[in-house]
Amino acid sequence: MPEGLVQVILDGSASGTIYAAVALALVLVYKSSGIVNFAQGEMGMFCTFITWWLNQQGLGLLTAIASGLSIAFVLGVLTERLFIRPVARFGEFPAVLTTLGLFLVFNELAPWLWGPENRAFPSLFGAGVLAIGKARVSTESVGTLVVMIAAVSVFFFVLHHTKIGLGMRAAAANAVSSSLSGVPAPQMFMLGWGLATTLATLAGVLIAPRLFLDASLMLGVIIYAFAAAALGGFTSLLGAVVGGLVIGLAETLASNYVDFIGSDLKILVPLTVLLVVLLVRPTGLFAKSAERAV
Amino acid sequence: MSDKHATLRRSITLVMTLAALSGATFLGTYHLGQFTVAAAYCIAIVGLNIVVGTAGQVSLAQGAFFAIGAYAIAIFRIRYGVPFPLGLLAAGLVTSVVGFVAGLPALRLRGHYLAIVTLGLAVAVLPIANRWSSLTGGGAGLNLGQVSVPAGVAMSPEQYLYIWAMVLAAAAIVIAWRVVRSPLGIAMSAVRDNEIAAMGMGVDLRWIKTGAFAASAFFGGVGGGVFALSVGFVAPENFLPTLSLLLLVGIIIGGSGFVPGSILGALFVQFVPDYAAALNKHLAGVFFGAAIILFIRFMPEGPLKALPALFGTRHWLFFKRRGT
Repeated sequence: MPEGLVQVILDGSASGTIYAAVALALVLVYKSSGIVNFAQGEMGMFCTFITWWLNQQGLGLLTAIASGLSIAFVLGVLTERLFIRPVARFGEFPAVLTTLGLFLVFNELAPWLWGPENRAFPSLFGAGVLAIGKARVSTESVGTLVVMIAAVSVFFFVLHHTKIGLGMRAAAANAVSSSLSGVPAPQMFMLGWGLATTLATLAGVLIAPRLFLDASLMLGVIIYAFAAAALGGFTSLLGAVVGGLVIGLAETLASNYVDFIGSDLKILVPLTVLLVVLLVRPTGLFAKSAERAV
Repeated sequence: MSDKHATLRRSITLVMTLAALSGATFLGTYHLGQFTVAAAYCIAIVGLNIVVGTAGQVSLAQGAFFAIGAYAIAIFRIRYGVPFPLGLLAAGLVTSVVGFVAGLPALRLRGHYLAIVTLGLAVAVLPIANRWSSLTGGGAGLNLGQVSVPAGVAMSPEQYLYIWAMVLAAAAIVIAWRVVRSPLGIAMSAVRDNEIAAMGMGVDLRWIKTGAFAASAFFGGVGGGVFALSVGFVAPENFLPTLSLLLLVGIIIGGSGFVPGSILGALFVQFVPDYAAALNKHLAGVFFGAAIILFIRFMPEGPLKALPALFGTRHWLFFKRRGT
């Protein structure tokens, strides 16, 4: 295997885990509230800005990230309670429009508060290069990969092996029945939004050193995440993770080895994947058969 | 009694059209340009009202259609010297073909899936316009110059274009309003309210959905064309993905499905940023986002319908009472 390819695959996987994290956030919200949160990426971007600002104020990078993630959790919880729940009962359309409104608010709030310039975001992993065999890969990619795999593992562990995770899954599966069994479903939805926003912020913090921080940080990422989540039919958490990795690899391989695509048209890769998956198998590659009610 | 209201509606339409046209005589060049762009938004919002408000298909692609229309008229004018009224028609037709194709996924997809795919279209316009520079001029864009005024018409180019824009906006509203209230429009509403029941009533979903997209794209393309003519310049940065969201703000402000409300929506989208920008350039976006959230929450039918209801009056002005 040529050394270049190893590097491309590692870089692709690192991007892939970031898309996977945002896709997980989308699926988590979709499973609990039944809506797609178009503002998910922007909420992550906004909290990444908060992290950057805290860091500028003199907080250490790790402390700033920890605070940023906590603030993200609170922001997610409040958003569900204040903006989503009041309109959720009117159906999907008003809720989707509300998330589009949130998208605009966060997208413009960040440059309003912190200015429209590109910001250099410090990397957790330095700018070093690791030699693996003959291949040279950046510590950035390896670090992102490790942190994201750890985060996703913790997330899956909580969801499948703790009581609160069981409650979340129960509330997502059937809010009314789980309420009758003593699961506080509304709190579980708020928790879902909180965790989702935390994941999106983690993705933002990890990708910001590479892309520079500005209001458009997550615009590309959210499209990749949509494609990844669609691969899992928006309901499969595992599907979102696999989808994220597939999209990340496809994007990096295509932009490195297909001349026509290059770096400027690589956004078309997830869009094509998205369109083909949705048209051929709208329930996703991992979803069980969907039912439809009149 | 519905006759009386029909007369009243017609009078209001006439007065508003005359008031808009008379603007050409007293508005300065700068304001003429602003109102021309507002008319361009209005035409695009009317189109969006057909596909979203009436047919209930969540489309975030209207910004993309706006862009395609703008590029189409620029290319027709610069390459082939097509006169601009013909160019506008051509831009609308080209865009409606794209809209028809974009409507095909709507046959399989619903709700958020459709929103995601159409958002994808809005996002894809920018890199494609940048890359396909032989056609679009790439990042440098295309320069259209001013429209030419026919000999014998004593108007400045801005005044001439303004008149055209107002007439086109009025025509768009009248045509769309009639379509929405025709059997075709009722079939669209049926698809919005319950697809399966509509199918059971003999509505052909395929034609209704792709047709709604094609129609909305036609208006989007004409609107984009008017925009390009007024600004005199087309470049990728005019068509950010958020443009689709701004147009969506327009239908929410005007009342989703209520076509004449598009006027209010367009004025809001065009002029609120100006006033907000006096404080901060980004405040306008925050304001738009907040407007979507608040209107959806408290006035889902838009202020034009919610306010009369607040004062206990029926919106007799806009709707014939059924069964009288």
